Amino acid sequence: MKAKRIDASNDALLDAASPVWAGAEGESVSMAPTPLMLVKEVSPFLALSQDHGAVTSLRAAALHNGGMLAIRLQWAAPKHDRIVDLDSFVDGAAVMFPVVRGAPAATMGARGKPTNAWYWKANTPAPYEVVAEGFASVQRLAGRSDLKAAAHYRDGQWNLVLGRSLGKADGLVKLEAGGSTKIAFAVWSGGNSERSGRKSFSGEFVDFEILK
Amino acid sequence: MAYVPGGSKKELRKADRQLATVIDLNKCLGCQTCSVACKNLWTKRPGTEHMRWANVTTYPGKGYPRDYEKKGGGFRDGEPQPGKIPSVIDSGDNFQFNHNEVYYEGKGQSVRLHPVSNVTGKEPEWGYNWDEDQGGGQWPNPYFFYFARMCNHCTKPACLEACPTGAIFKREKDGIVLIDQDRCKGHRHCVEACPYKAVYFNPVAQKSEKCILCFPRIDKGIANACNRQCTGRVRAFGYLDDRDSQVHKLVAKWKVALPLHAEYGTGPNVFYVPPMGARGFGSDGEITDGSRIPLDVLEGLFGPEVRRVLDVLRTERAKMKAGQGSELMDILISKKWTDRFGGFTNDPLTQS
Ligand code: HEM
Ligand code: SF4
Ligand code: SF4
Ligand code: SF4
Repeated sequence: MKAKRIDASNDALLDAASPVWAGAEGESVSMAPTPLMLVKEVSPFLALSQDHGAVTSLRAAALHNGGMLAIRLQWAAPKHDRIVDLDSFVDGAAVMFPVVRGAPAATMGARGKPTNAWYWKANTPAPYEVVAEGFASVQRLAGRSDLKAAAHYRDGQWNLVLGRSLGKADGLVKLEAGGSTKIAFAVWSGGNSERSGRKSFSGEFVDFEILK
Repeated sequence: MAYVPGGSKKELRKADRQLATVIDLNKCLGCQTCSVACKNLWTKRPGTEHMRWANVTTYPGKGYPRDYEKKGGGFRDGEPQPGKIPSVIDSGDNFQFNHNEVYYEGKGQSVRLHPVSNVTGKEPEWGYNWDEDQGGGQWPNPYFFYFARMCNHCTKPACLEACPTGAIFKREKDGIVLIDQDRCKGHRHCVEACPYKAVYFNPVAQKSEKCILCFPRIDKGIANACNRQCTGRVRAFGYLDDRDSQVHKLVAKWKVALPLHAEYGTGPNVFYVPPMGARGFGSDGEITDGSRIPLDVLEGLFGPEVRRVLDVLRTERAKMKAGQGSELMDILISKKWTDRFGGFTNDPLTQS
């Protein structure tokens, strides 16, 4: 996937419906249920999970304006954006990058090989920076970056933009114009009790270029 | 901590010592003092209204949370079992009453004081202790007993094993199982996994919460509130390995206190003295020697040891009656109430 540089304000980039997104090369990403037998040591109960991975495809696109990188995700799903009872969950989505080369996506990183995800939850306006060195150390970090999210739900579809300044790192993935890294995606369907490892994901990391 | 956050669940170690509670179901009055003591101390915050970490229901009955025994979780032959999350209504709802209308708006004679479900806004159809005193059995031998429950601070806590975040730990020094509120993300795998449904979700904080065994009191030598406040002197507390504690004497020496649903495989550390029940009527209306509570009902809760335990209780009671005295009956009678707390006898008023 590639993030083109365009002339647009941060506000325009953070608006999924803005015409600036017409200039992005969107991609269709197929999503699969996470292989939860991998989490058996961390949670043998979660490893029993069945029928997760309700969302099977996603459209992803990326743009930057020299200052901010924005990633737009769109997927069709029923809307669950509130906790209405003790057994209800909300929709969510995340993009993940390796913090160091060789960090695996399928285990969300490994000891000494952290990954960094941007995680949006439908009932929480501010997204989380998440750093993980494997399933057992998935941490939400507050105040580490200027990560922003803007989401709206229309015609049976979530439209989400996640954006963060290029440059700075502070233990997170360093994203720079002219640089390249890797990217992976995850989506949680709240109506299907999806949260934590119970979700669909895009498979192993794919190349992600941030054009000059 | 008996579980190192970030580590594999295979590294789970046992606590060095284990605190335990024994509840004598022969004497529980269903007064709810334990439930209220807990609620007053710990669950008056926003999002905790539905929670009753300490609760008392009538058995036979659906229990609390409603039908908890049918919601899965725990282990079968060592293998984890899937489980369900109780709803707010299952967890007792949070009834609202029309106090203003009746007491202050002049409608005292025309409007009935009535509850409204906080969930549906309508007349409630279920709530905490909804089936109180219904019980089971047929006339002339109906029966029930009160059943006080709380988190079992299990030796093999399913809640802990289920948490992928590593937010749940068991204190090494006393076996108390706690959810670190700073780490918990509200995934609720623990709620699904606990076969006793002793973990509750706080929808305001979006975190899971459970009985903390009143650890701030324990750390000051004060018995936990539900146990200390029990008006029926039904509850004993202390370290299982403390030979002087009533808990040790009832569980290990006299072997009259049994875990609830040991088959769930979590190694619960709340133990129950099974109820002997009132004597039943025979077909001609005569009073028999048999209990009104069918043995299989008790065995369904406390396992195959029940028959032996009831025999011990009858034997010791007979000794007492015959004036021979009985250490076991002395413990269960609980003449000196502070003897019940395994040395955790500091006064909450002067210590906190
Ligand atoms: C490759 C794309 C993936 C992304 C973008 C992703 C993203 C995330 C994020 C953002 C969280 C944090 C949730 C929260 O804080 O509430 C999370 C948690 C988790 N993920 Fe992933 N994940 C991916 C793949 C996987 C896979 C393949 C598995 C399992 C086979 C998995 C298992 C888990 C588990 C067990 C947790 C819970 C840990 C915790 O919250 O403490 N993930 N994931
Ligand atoms: S009773 Fe449930 S919540 Fe309490 S320690 Fe056992 S498994 Fe955990
Ligand atoms: S030990 Fe304390 S926190 Fe636990 S149920 Fe009793 S009163 Fe509540
Ligand atoms: S306070 Fe004691 S007697 Fe009263 S309901 Fe609780 S356990 Fe039973």
